[in-house]
Amino acid sequence: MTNEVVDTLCKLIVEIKPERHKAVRPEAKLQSEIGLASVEIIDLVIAAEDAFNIEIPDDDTGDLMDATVLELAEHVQRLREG
Amino acid sequence: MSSEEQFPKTVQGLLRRAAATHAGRGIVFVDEDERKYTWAEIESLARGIAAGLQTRGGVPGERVAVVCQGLRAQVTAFFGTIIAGLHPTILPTPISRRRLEGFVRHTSQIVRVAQPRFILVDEPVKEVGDPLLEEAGMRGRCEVVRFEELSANVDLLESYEPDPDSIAVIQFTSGSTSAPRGVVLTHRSVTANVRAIVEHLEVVADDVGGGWLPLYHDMGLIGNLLGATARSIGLVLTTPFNFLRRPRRWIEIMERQRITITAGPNVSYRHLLERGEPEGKDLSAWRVAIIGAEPIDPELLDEFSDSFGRVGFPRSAFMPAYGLAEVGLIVTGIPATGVYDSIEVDRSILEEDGRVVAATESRTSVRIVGVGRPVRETTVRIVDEQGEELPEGRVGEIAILGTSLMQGYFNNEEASAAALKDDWLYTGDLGYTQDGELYVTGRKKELIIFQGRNYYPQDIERAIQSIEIVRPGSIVAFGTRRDKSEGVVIVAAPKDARNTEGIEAGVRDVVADRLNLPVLDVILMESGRIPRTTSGKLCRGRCRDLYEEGNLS
Repeated sequence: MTNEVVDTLCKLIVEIKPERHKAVRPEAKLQSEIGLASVEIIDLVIAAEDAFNIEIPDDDTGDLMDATVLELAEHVQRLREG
Repeated sequence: MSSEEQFPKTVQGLLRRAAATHAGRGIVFVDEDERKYTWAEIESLARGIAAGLQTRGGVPGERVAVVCQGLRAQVTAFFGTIIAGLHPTILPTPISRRRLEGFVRHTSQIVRVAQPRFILVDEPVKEVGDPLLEEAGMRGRCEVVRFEELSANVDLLESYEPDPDSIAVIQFTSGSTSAPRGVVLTHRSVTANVRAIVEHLEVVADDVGGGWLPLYHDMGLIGNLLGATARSIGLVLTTPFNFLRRPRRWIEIMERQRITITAGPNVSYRHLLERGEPEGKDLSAWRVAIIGAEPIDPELLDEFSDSFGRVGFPRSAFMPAYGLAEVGLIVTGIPATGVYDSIEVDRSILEEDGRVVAATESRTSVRIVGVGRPVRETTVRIVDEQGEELPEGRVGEIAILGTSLMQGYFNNEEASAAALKDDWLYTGDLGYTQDGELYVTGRKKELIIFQGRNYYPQDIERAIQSIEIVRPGSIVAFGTRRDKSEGVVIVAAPKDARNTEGIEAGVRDVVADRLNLPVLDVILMESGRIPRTTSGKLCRGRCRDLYEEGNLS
């Protein structure tokens, strides 16, 4: 797992939810710990697609609702490696 | 269009007229095949569904819960149920297969209240039907039916003409988990509100509606679907998920389909503003963008108008409006060609005295967007705690009188009696009028509105009680809207002051899991320090005020 992906995702999350910057850690769950709403998680997925030039399938997006930052990063990494 | 026109008094009457006057117009389901189904085709499909419900023994007056992922399935099942004389309730579908348990727990509460004869499921969500029925305790009294297998030969259809004062739709208010309320709307009330909408928006034949809201939401069902049906205009529908997931695609669709009318809460326009990337597109056909369902953010209106103005969105398109499911949809709205406006008022005088005073530079102020005047056959007044009418400029509860009022809440006399008194609907919303125009300032009840959905604090507090190390009865949930951040804040007392580890994480987990709601902040304090009334009841409003002042810790 590259730290670069995790760092970029953390940065994107802070842009979406600046008031929760203290809660943004690799192990934190997007919804229940960082406090992202489902709309904001979809925002994050779109931002990650743009940042890494990948496409995250819809079926995965639903499952990512309960993921941690690290799990999302692993998912991104797999898609980048094709 | 003359005011003498015969406006249908039933929902099937609206569809029948659309089928007769469509001139090639209809609904495009962009997530399915982007082919157009004319209003006549929609009616014909709906009649097949109606025949199917009848041949399976459905009789007028029974309810049908529609749990379908496909929008064409939702639309045709909705109309088909009504044509057969049964009452449809459209329900949400799960967004993730991994979270079916939470979905079933939540949605079965609605099924339990609606007591449907049928639960209709389509292929993508077929596995949720039986668990819903089981969890709602309706085994043996309700049948799960696959949408794809339902349709029957329309020659078998026994026609049914309902009385305009009989029930048409039962619309559940979203968010609430413990005691969902089903708003009972008659054919007369639905058609009255739909007529008010199309006349207020000055809808004409070449208008094209564009909808991204769910059909279990009043704006999606009454506004988008029935509004379009009433004038047999073109309608382009996408699911909320696809709208959120592909905002740029939606902008392309808006351009390609020449969409003229949209509706949504703040969050949907904010999403298009931040992710829509409209550069180079031509959105000049867009003439009405209804915004409502929660306090309207004036800065969003300004930012959006500036940004989308460059691709042809006229400032006059925004139509701030006020409404609620208990009247169908709309109560007030600014004129279709008018430009939105807001008033800057003194925040502390407004909140403490309930009076409206223009802001002076030295004091904190709040900008409130005007939501216009009442639509046809609708009267609004502002009342005090005793129900006495207040003069202009004074904040009180918004009460409504009109043809489109609900009959009551389904099988809930207590809630119905609390909301409807002497023909007036008491909304629980607070506001004031100025020069005949309505301004909405907040909620009287402590309902939490988050991204267009309603949540009762009691439901959130109850969910948190399940955490072992939290003291029951010492939990407070309230909504906050300070600066740019909005969300739910939880105050809780630990059972044992030495054992607080994991409470915050537990609270966030349980609220996310049971209510699909993120928590902004968790504050732990001793039970005795949580603000209470003199009789010892928890004081949510006081907690919120202290929190917003930065004094709750």
